[in-house]
Formats: sequence, structure tokens, C-alpha cells
Amino acid sequence: MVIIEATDLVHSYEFEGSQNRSIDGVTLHIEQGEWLVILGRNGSGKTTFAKHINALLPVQGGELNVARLDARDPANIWEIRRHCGMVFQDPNNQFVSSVIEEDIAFGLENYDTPAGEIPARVERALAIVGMDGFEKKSPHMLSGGQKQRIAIAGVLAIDPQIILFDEATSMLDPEGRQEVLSTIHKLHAEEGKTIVMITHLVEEATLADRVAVFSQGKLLGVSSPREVLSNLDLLHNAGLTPPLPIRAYYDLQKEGVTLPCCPLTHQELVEALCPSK
Amino acid sequence: MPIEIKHASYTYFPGTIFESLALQDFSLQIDDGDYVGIMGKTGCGKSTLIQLIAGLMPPLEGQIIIDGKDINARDYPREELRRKVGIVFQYPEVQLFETSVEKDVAFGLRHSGLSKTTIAENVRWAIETVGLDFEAIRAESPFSLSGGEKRRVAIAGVLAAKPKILILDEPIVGLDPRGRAAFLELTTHLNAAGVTIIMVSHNADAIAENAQRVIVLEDGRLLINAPAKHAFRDVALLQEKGIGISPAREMAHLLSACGHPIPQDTIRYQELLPFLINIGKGASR
Repeated sequence: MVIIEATDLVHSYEFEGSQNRSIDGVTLHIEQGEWLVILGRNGSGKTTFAKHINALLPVQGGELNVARLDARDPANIWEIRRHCGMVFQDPNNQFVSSVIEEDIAFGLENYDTPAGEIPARVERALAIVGMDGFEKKSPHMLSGGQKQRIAIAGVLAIDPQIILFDEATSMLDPEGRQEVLSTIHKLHAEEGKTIVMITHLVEEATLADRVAVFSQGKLLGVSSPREVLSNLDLLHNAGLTPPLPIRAYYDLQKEGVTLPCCPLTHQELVEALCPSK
Repeated sequence: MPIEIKHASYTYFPGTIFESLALQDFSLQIDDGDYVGIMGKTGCGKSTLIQLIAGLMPPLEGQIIIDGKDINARDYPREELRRKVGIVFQYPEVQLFETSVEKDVAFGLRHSGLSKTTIAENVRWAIETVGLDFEAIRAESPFSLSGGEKRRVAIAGVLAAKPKILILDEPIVGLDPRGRAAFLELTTHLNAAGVTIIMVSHNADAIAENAQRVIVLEDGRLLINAPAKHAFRDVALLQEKGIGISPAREMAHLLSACGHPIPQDTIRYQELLPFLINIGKGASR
């Protein structure tokens, strides 16, 4: 079932009288339970697109349905936001309380959740992100990865069907990044959430079911990670660079060494080069 | 003359329940013209270290010596330090504020004592050095630019003082791959012109491909201080400590483990490629 259905979506920002089209006729359907990664240069329209999905930006042109709700109808805004949580880049900007359980309960309180239900939902959200036991702690004392998992728990407590991640790992150290990626994997695999993840790290796209590539407000292509990342023309046109295994695949080809298939990960490249193993 | 950090210690909120040790008896020398990459987990003391080098705060113990002078001595000319050491913080573009690019870049030089013509020359040089077209962009509002351009303008504002030492705190976070490549090229270009570069980054690839020396901090102490090609030798240690490894080094490590020994100082893609070709040719034979 299609959960996000954008048809010919258009959006312009206005600056000092000049119109700047940041999304230019994007048609993209995202299936329920899918993990979609969006790649593209700065200013390619990725974030503007994502902000339409949870109704942070109004639809100016085209059509958008989120969880079978028409995003053009202002009456649907709050319902859409309940179905669609968003995790941003900087974990420090996402806290509203100095006690973790209060921070996570904040969203629930705003949605008039019965007070008796709140503790159980907070507890469950923390358990899913692996932060149980931190209820009474302050978010400011945590590592970057832990902070970001708390931010995810805050979104998760509302129980949205869709979670948007806007470069949510870019400020973290490698360990924190891994923590957050594993958490996203769990949300996708075990909780059945639809994941839309914006990233500048092409390596992270290998985790997705499908990868969409944006350039200058247009959708250049959307396909499996292997098809997108091995398409050098597509990556080049979008101002992206392939990860090491794919770069190596083509450089080896130039030297007359053709591997059986285009490797996505380090492990796949090792397996292609050491077939005995 | 190098930067010498001698037995520096720094503690935040000493004597309170929030007391946290950031640097402990830390000593390090950075030579002129070096390109140093600093890595380490969040909270390891990286940001404290660069703030001490930039003289933004004095260490609680120990000394920071630049060009032979203790920069925290009472009679040390601070304005000289400000000109010598440039620091670019994370997301420098949020610090833009002027009405035109040219004014924004020139702002830091207003009280530098330099003549108007020198300032104008420096501003033009800085804007061109970061890869922007001076004539086309000088009158633009900094807020009308794209994210990548804004960051370049912000960096031009630091470069305009022609610092000998340039400190960059996570400068490529949020830049797309092409923006990253262009920015890193700019740093090697400045380094080739004699500027000492000190770059803090979690991106092991960027550090391996560009830095000459790599420093890894852990809990306020030096874990590794080595030429870049040696810094990634001990893959198991780096993995255990949660420090990033360059993709080329990681690949070399994996291939070595399955019977294709590749030297441990292979950290860059172009160094790895000949080995991949050799292994590939052997496998297809």
C-alpha cells in the first residue's frame, strides 16, 4: 500500500522578490513499511520535500497524500503530523525538558493522551531505542548517539507510521552513527515503520530498500541501492560520489578485471576478490 | 616556529557536581606547515584542545606556546594571536550577519590597523581563494546564497586576516560530496601555500586523504599521535575505541585477513587501487 503519494509536487521559496523553485514537479510514491533514502546535493530539494511529508510546508502545487490524507487540506495538518514524526540533524536542538521522561512525554501531552497512558508509552519508546533506565536522567549528559536515540524515542512515543530523518547521523561520531543506524534498522524491521532518510553519506544509502536521487528540485531517479549507486552517470549528474567498493569496481573494469557483480559494501568487494572465501 | 602544548590540563566546572575533566597533562607539538587531523569520540577533549590553541581560554595548568611565546602570558600581544590563528567553528554560516558578502568578509579586519587598500585586497583574495567569483558575489546578501556558498563566505571571513594557522572544527558536516571535495581541496591548497591546518573531523576518509599527521584523543589524553599513514595501522584498537577508519585502510585490512597481505600504511584510495588490481587479475586468471 502506498503511504506517501506525491504527484507533480512543486514548491518555491521567495527571497527578495525572486522566486526560487526548490521542488520542481516531483512524483514519488513510497510504500508502507519501506525504507527510502534520499540523496542529493545541498539545495537539491531533499529537505523541502521531506518537510511536505509531515506538513511543515504547505502544498503550493501538485498533489500530496500522506497516510491517505490529502495534505492540501489544512484540516488534515495535525492528523498528518501525528502519522509522521521527524528527527533532525542536531540532537541538542530537539530537547524541551531537562528530564528525559518529561521530554518524551511532551509530544504525547500535546496530543491529549490520557495521563494514565503516558508512562507506559514513554517506557515502551525508550525500550525500543535501547535507552530504558534513563527516564530520570538529563538529556544533556548523554553522548551524541544517545541524545539522538532519545529524540527518536520522543517521536516514537506518538506511534507515527512514518519517521523522517534529516541528516540525523551527520553530527555524530562513528559509534553514535552506528547506534542510530541500528535503531533505524530496528524501527523498520521490527516496528514496521516507514522510514524516509535524508543523508549526505552515500554509504548509508546501501541500507535502504530504495534510493531516490534529487537534483535541482527534480527527482533524477529512484531504484534499488545497487542500481542507483552503480549508475555513475546518475551520481555524477546529482553531484554525488560513489562509495569505495563501487569506485573500485569501475576502476578494476578499466584494468580489464570484471567482477561478477557490482559490490555495494566492503564485504561484498572482499568476497568478489577472494572467491575462495 | 611550532605550536607547543606543554602539560596542559583543563576541567570544566571544577569543584562542582558538574566537574568534568577535558584535558589531562596534555603535551603536543604541531610543526609549521603541518596538516593535522584530530579525531576522537564526542567528549574526548578535541574542542577544548582547539580552543586552547586558539587562545579562546587558558589552560588551568600548563602552557600553550606559539612561535616561542606563551600566549597566555600577561604581556603577550593578543591581537597578534588573533591575526596568526584563524578558527572556523561548526556551521560557520550561522555567524554571517552583514548586508553584503564583501562587508561580511571584511568585518574582522575593521580594527586590524591595516590600510583600506590592504583590507580590500585581502577581502578579494579571501573570496577568490574559497572559489567564489568576487565581482559576481561581492554585493550579494550573504543570506541569499546556498548553504555551500554561505560556508565559503564564512571561511573567507577567517582567511581575510591571512592566518598562519587555520583551525577547522568539523568543517565538512552537512556538505554534500562535491562540496566536501571542493572544501578539502581548498585546505590542501592553503596548506601547500604554507598555512598550518588543524582539522577536527569524525570523517576518517577526509582525514586519511588529506592530513599528514593524525592525532586521536581519548578521555583528554593522546591515544595516537603519528604520521597519517601509520595512524590507522591498528585497526582492532581503533574499532575497539570507536574511532573511524579510512575506507581504504579498512578494505586493506579485510583483504589482508583473507590471504592478500597489503601494507598497513595503505590509507588512501589511490594507494589501495594497485593492490586491488593485482588481486583482481590473480583471481580472474
